[in-house]
Amino acid sequence: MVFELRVATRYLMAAKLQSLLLTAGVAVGVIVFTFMAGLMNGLGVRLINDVTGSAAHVTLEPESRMPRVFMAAPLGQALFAIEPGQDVSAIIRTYRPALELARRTPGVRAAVPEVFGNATLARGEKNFPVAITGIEPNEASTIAPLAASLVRGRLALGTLDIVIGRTLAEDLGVDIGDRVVLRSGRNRKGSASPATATVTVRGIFTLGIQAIDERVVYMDLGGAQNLLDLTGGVSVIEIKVDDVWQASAVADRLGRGTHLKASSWLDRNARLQEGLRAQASSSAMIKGFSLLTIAIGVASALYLSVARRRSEIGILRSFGIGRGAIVRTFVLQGLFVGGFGSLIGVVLGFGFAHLLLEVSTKASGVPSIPIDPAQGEYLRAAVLATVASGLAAILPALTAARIDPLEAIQS
Amino acid sequence: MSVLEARDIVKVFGDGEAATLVLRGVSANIEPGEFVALVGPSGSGKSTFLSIAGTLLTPTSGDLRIASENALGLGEKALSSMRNRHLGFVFQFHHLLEEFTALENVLMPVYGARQRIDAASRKRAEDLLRRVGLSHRLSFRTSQLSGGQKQRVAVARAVIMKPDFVLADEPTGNLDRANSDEVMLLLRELSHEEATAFLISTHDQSIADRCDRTLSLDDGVLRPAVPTTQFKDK
Repeated sequence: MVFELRVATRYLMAAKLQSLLLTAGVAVGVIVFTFMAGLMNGLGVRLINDVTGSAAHVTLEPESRMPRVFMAAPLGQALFAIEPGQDVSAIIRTYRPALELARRTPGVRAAVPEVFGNATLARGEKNFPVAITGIEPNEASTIAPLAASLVRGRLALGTLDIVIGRTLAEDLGVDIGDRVVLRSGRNRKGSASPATATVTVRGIFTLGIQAIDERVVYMDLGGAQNLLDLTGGVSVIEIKVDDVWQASAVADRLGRGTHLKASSWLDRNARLQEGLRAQASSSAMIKGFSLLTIAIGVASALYLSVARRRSEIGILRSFGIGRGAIVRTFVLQGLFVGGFGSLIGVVLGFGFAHLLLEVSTKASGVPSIPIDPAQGEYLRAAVLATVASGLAAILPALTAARIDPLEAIQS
Repeated sequence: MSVLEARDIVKVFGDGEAATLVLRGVSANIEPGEFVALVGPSGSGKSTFLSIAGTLLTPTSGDLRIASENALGLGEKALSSMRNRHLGFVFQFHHLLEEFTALENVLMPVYGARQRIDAASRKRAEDLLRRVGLSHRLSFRTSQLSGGQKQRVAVARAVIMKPDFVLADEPTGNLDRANSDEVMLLLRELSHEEATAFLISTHDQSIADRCDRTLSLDDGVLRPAVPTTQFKDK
């Protein structure tokens, strides 16, 4: 291999400009590859974060309650009335075993019980319908990043404390420390009136999701249970998993283990999944074309080199240098160009991605181009580009090896 | 033991009506250390015979032995090995690798033999370059050498592996008279010093005159071998 290495490097060094352009071509191909990978992976992560950042990856909830008997059929069979959207307020009464099981399940990062219910928030003459979310105060930021989203106040959830979205606070005209009246959306059992509580606004947040910022009221789990008359039970167990793509598998497992209705964020976002798949396919195609461009560039340059060095190859063959050595000489040239080009491409691609991220990042800290430099698939790009260059060199290398020494020398 | 034994070598190019008979049963022997000229008019088949003797071309029929080894019907690897072990080549054009130094060019056949470039190989290459008068040009790229110097590097390259037999096809064809004389003298001396046989194809009678004997090809037929002096007398 010493001979092949020596000849390959010397040939590349001899045609400096051509080698430089060829290496630059490979580098550009690798930059395109890493840019596409960083952009598409970054976009995917951003979309998934947008969808799952403030929501559970897996939700455990009771099966919907059977609607009550509407009327008896003439033959004694029951007829049921199904009213879509009707709040039947199913609850998990003994939720602790399911919660413990969820927390022990591999792949689960966190699991928290939550209570949901409708209510009205009133201050003076103003009344707004709200959705209560009751959570354990020490787990308040487990599902939605509440603590990080606070714009005023703190995440202190005593029994009669609440944290609300900024839009709701503005609509109500309340600020930190103001007291408001929270009225349950349903009557207490055995009572003709709903439960009410006077609560204090302790924190104001903005999650950037309109539906939450203008409607959701976070409060202590026990307080919510009392207000909504759900003592001892919870509405759902919400779960965050380590790998969002494993959410369905975790949901299946927990569904079987708890006999609760388990659903994953993927079940709720089928179209997003389709979009991400289409995006991955497009990205793979573009990356494939960049590799193809590299291969064509390397092959054509080496074909020219073979044509130019016909007589030299002939003389090498005449004094006993075998076809294998000639093939290796040209394949090595392809690998060198691919290797160096990849190295340069990876470095520049990484730098380019960082620069783009920096330039496109707005004052809010959110980049307009969702590129993630960490997800540029640099190693894969370098390996694939080098292999593609080596493979592309095989055809010209075989052409070189087939040169008839006599014909080449005489020409 | 002859370094070249050619028996009834026939070479036909093309087939059917386009077939051209170039060699019509050529037989020749060359002994170790012999310095032989191959002469003949253009188109007589000199280059074809030289190429067959160098295993670069396969004859249509006949027998060929190089250093007593059968040289026909061999595979590509065996042929490469035979050329590397027994044969050397000098062509009208030097065919040196421009990107390499004079010393590296001389060492190329050593690489071809899959041999490591050890101190002994390097010393032999340096000695040969010194012998051809290029001791001061060892590390010069071939692009920095004159035409005569390049051909002398090619001569050193041809004998680096101590071949039994060197085939030279018009080795002075591209040189002026002074360089031509120098190269011929060098070939002759190396033939004696290295005990290497040379078969030199030429159309220049003055070059043939410097050889031990002359083979004369005419229309694909080899005349009987004659000593050069006898050839000259004719």
